Amino acid sequence: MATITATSTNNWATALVATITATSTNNWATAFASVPTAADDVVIPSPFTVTIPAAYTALARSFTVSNGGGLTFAATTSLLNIGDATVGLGNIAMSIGSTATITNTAQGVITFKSTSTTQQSINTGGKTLPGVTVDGVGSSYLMASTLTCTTFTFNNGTFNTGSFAMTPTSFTSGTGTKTLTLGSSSISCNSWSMRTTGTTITANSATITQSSTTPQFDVSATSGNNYGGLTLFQSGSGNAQVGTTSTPTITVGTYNRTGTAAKTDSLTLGCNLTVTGTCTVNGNSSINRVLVQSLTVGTAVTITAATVSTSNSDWMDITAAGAANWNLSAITGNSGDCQGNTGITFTTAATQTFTSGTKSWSDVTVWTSRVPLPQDDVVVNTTTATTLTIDMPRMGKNVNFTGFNKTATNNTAANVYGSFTLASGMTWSMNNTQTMTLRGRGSYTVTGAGKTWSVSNNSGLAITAPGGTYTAQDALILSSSTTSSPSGILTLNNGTFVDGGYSHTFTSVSITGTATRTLTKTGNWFIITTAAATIWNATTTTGLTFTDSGATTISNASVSSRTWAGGGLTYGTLTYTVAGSTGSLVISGSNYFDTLNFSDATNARTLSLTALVVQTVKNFNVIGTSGKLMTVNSTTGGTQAQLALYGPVDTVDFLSVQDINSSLPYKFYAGANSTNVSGNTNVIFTAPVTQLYVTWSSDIAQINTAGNTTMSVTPSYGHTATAGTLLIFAVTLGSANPGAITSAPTGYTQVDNNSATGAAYTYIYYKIAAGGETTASISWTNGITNVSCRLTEIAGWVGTPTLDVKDKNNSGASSVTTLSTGSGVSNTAQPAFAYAYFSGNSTLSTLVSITNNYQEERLQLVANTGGRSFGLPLSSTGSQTTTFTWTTSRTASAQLVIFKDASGHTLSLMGVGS
Amino acid sequence: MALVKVPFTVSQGGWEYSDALYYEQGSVPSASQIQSDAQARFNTWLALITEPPLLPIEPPIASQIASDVTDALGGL
Repeated sequence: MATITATSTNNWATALVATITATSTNNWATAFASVPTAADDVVIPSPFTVTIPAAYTALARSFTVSNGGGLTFAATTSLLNIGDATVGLGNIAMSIGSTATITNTAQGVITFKSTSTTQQSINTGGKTLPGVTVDGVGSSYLMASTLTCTTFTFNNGTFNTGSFAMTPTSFTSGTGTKTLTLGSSSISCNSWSMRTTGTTITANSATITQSSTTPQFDVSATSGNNYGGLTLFQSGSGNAQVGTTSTPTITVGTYNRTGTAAKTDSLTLGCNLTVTGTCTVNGNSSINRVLVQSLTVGTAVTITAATVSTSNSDWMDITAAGAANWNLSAITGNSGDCQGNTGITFTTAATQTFTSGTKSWSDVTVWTSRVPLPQDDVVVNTTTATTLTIDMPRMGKNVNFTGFNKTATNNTAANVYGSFTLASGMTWSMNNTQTMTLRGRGSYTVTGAGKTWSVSNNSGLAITAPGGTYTAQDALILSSSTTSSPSGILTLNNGTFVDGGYSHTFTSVSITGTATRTLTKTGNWFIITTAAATIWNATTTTGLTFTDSGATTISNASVSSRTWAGGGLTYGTLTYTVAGSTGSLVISGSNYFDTLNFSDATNARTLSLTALVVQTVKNFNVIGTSGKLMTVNSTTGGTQAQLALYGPVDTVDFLSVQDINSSLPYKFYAGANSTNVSGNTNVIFTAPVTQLYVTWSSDIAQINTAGNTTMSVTPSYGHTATAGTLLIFAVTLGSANPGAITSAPTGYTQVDNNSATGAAYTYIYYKIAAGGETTASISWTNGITNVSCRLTEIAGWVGTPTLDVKDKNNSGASSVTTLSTGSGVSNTAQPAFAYAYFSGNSTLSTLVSITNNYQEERLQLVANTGGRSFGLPLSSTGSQTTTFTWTTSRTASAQLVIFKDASGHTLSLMGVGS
Repeated sequence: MALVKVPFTVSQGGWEYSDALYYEQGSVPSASQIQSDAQARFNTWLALITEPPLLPIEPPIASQIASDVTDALGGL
């Protein structure tokens, strides 16, 4: 039942306002005589308590809980929306009596969403509220009390704290237009995120205190923010963060980072920080220090301060500026230089030598003069009874255990800022959950001395050394203390790692990322994890320089599938031949392998190649045995993966092949004992024969790019031609008449040209390779939109490749979906190789069929963007023609050219040929 | 303290393992001792990656190790 209450001295028509008053203790939908709407001013009087149940949105124009009344949020989906287009009764949005009861069984949300521009008050009665959101477009709210809640979200309108204290767990914002007036409020919240656009902060003298774990303070990049009078006090443990990389300079009046009694406290700046007053950074003690660092390792941020006050602090990637005295050499607890700093005078480095005893690294009594700072060289060479526990996150610069023959235990995520040298006589024990990180910015070394780093929980050895180089001095051995997690990881985040040619052992390797980093790999690495894991992670190769002239061996048997996320890099040898290992190997990324060894003497096993990408392998040594076939398939059934088996024909057998497309004609002889499951292209299920074959080919295309008058193609992976082979350079100038050829490929002889009417111009050149050829180029007169060219090497010749016969055909002015190479020409000798090339005014896709056993070369997985070529080795003489059928009608032309081997030898099975 | 580096390669049981040993200048042991040290280093590593053993272990190819050691010492 609605109560009509006079709210002002006025005429009858305007003095009386209807309020909806709760009449029972019940759920919102039944506690009132009628369910309140957004146009109702709602009152919960004593002694009633109204519950907003789960998945329920209660509505009110204004909301009052009188003394003795109560409101319960039953669930996180219990929502209370306050406000409509009309100002609340008495210009009050919410009023909670000081003896009312607010029960947060779970944290629902109160949303203030009036669109009235009249300022309305919010009085919480000092109660703890659930989440609070201010989201009224054009609204204006003024606090009339303190506010304690969980997340405070500010999306729209104007919100004035009234200089009352606020204690939200976090303070965040949406993208609406909003103005925040903080006054002189004291705000305790551990996460302040006012990043979004449309935010205006008025001048204030507020204080934000963040005293819980991992405090964060971030503001918008837009103008109009005003924190210049703010005091920001971050005293929580762990990492305190100010700004992100997308934030410009944050300016505050006073900044204070005070550490706790923990060794891992830090201040991370995502942006420049300007402090118009005093910037204070105090670690808790000389061993519980605060690390001040940039969010992006290796990219310095600037702290500009009028005054700086600091103790027990270490600094990395910080540029100091402003009127402050940045001579920190003699501060309490000393200052540590973690490198990458500018404008700061640090405590002078001093070599610290460990004495002896069962001690911790943080024990000042066992060092020459102090617990090592990041700039101090460290010598641990005692031979007297010692168990040294590493418990400082920053061990020192060059840390050298040479001569040490006792025990050192690493019990923390330690960082070293120079060389790290273990000793063969020592006992090295890793806390198995910690990663050690090498961070030196110069040229340093890492020496494992045969010690095993046994770790777990995604830990291991990391290199995060911008501009620095770590060169291994011997074989490093990281193992996992469990078989179920991919730990014992070598992680290259930043900087250079040179493996020294040694046989490093890791459970897995991660070089993915975006920072500038280099891995120079010449040794034979062993990957030992038996877990179902990504054993090699190069998923993102941005910023990576990678060379691998060595090998990698998956050395341990496992039933689990392991993944090589190659990232499209060029690798040396990858070997997975351990016997008794049934777990598959999945290779992702379009990679190049010089050699891929994959076999198992005792089991069948699967090599899965990612669908729709190309694995290029020079030496494809994938071999099964009778009854124990090596499966080679695509990761997606029914969708092909592509194999480009460059180089000589490989001898393989006992395979089970499915959904594989071999991109080079007559190269993938799977063997007579292999199984053709389904979905294969260009895979021949016989033993290899000594016939002519395509060694490699490379192509390039420009489609829908106007004005091309020149084009060149260079073989991938640094391939160069072998003397005596046949090079064919085929060109499609598809969309118009190119005019004259102004520059033909150097040293090549033109076989012929052809075209349809005004389009699909085709040119074929050839050359007997002198050896070492790479790029071939051609230029013409008129700009052409759709062009492509392909360079192919055909090998297996005994004598000199010799042009024998040629043929050609075109569609005239018609658009067609099928075309033959002509009525047929007969080669005069064998062995020979027939090369058919088709061009269209645009792409000839998708392949429907090619007749007479010709195999297509190169890009078959997706629509070919240029001319399409097909090959067939000939072992007899006779008429030759082939017909190509595709799906989209084009004007098209074709050429067929046959080269014979002048030696006159005949074809036979490999190894038996004449 | 100056150290002498002795790189070595062990080829054994189908494994090829490359590593290095370091000795203090003036305390470099005999070639046979270095060979023994290298074999021990290899054995420790092999035990780690072949536990349980995955491949039959063949006798060490001592001549390979000795050759490596001799080469390395010759360069000192």
